[in-house]
Amino acid sequence: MATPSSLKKWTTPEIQDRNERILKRPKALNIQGLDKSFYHKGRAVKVLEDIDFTAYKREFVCVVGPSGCGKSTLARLIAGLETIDGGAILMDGAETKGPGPDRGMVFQSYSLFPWMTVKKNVMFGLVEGGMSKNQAEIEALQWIDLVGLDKFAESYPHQLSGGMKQRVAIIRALANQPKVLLMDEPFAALDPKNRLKMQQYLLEIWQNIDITIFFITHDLEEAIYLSDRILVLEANPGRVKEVVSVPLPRPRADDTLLSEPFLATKAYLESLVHPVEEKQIDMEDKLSMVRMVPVDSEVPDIF
Amino acid sequence: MSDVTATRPTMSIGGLWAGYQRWPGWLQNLTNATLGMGILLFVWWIGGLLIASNPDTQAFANFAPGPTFQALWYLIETGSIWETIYSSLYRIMIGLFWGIVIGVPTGILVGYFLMVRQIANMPFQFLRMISPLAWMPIAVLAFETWDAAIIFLLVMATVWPIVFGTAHGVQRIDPNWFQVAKNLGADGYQMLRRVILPAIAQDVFAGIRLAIGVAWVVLVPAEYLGVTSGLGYAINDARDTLDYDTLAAIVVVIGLIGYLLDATAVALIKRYSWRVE
Ligand SMILES: Nc1ncnc2c1ncn2[C@@H]1O[C@H](COP(=O)(O)OP(=O)(O)OP(=O)(O)O)[C@@H](O)[C@H]1O
Ligand SMILES: [Mg+2]
Repeated sequence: MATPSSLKKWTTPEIQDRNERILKRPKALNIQGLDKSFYHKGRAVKVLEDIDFTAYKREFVCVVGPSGCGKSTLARLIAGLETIDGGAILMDGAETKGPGPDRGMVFQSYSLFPWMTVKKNVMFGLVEGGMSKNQAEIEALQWIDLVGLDKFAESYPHQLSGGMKQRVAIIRALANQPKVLLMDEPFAALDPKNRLKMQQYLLEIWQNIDITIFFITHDLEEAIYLSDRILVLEANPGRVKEVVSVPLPRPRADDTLLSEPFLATKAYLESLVHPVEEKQIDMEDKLSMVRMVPVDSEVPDIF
Repeated sequence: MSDVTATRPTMSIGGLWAGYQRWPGWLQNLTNATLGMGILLFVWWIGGLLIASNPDTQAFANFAPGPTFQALWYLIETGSIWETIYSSLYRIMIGLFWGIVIGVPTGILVGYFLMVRQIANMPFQFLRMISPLAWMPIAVLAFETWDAAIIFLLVMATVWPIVFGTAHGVQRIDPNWFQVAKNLGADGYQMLRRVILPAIAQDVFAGIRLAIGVAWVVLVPAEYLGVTSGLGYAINDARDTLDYDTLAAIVVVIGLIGYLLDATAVALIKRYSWRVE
């Protein structure tokens, strides 16, 4: 995997060395020749075609790509919530069949159980895994403590803010001690300030436990800020377009979002995900559609 | 000038109203509930006076509150009312039991599978609209005992609200909950016990509440026929023996038990209700 020329000059020897060491780690998640089609009105629509990708142990991988390219489908396939048409998904070298506790998942919609307290939500998977109620409660409370929600252990989801709910969803998945944490646009519904806080939270957690994170987002800045490598997909059918190693040191500096390598990476990803010509045509199309909408207003002319 | 009027203690309507608004919620509620029952008793009492003062209706004067409560006290003192209540409650409970046993699984199927819903919708809406009492002749033919016939009518009354309540609850389930539960290791049985049932419980109990209401209303006329126990029978019996005070006392008992049954259902709905995120 060659580093694109625009990013080469930012890839210092230290960063280069770190990236190479990552690729020498054992494989956590190994996707081989993955195919997936959906049937729509009797016609097969190929959503993912021949996806090959490996995430290494304790790596932070982000997945970006145009809307509808199959990012969520990929995560759901890995989680075993969807059946595979062709290819294989391996965890620690063993092929996966159906859902398993080694792959935890966090959804954008939090999906906490509204009839359970925060504590009961976190205990859900532990109890399912065969742990005694008492032990599950002790562990759940430790997790709740870790993300600073100890005052809310007995609260119900509707009493929490969006960021708090997402923290609960994350620890609910982490409590089962998965090897890979799959996250499908988990912070998309949060406001920018909370999102940054949650990103920092997540990095903190990731650094301190043995976990590989597979994080889907459509926010390129988020992808660069969080990940070691970025898997870029293209649409129709969803294929691997490129895998980009992020040329930024860890831990991230406070001003990293304004640094030159960050902006260069963003520009490069931008060119991969939204090719320029296409965007202009799209915009022109949309504008002509808007012009066709009749204005029926008390103030017809705003100029 | 205006200061003087403002500080002077007044007994004006406005002052009373402001004072009332400062009461805690439960006290307002209790006061209003008492007021409502007071109005009901008052209307009853006036009705009793009117009946007593009219020579044509004088024979029914025992419908008034005074004789009624005396009769009620007598029924309680002698204990004869308990067996009557027990018979009726027993029928209601058996009817409700079968209504739940049949209604909840049916409702889950209807709510979960679009095809089942499309097949079942028309016939169920059609059957639902038939008064349970209309089944009486068929029930009498089909069942050997009057008791069984009445319980059949009660099942016909309870099953529909439970089916529709359950189906509504199932349709409100967020599909993401299944995904999360599966991801956290829940199998089919655990999915039912820990996700589906708690998710639909409040809607099931809402259906049960409606079912209790209909069943209780249907029970009394159903007991006019054949059986020799229960509140409906007791009313009919009192009418035949011109015991109008006893008759009214039993009406009071019917209202009271109906109210308690409903309150129980409301408590269950509250207990199992959750708010959307
Ligand atoms: N259960 C399904 N049945 C039929 N088609 C589906 C199903 N799930 C997804 N698709 C289709 O597969 C394609 C990829 O969907 P997916 O949700 O994976 O995209 P995505 O990359 O996550 O998009 P977004 O960025 O908008 O979240 C879409 O065209 C979608 O319509
Ligand atoms: Mg998606």
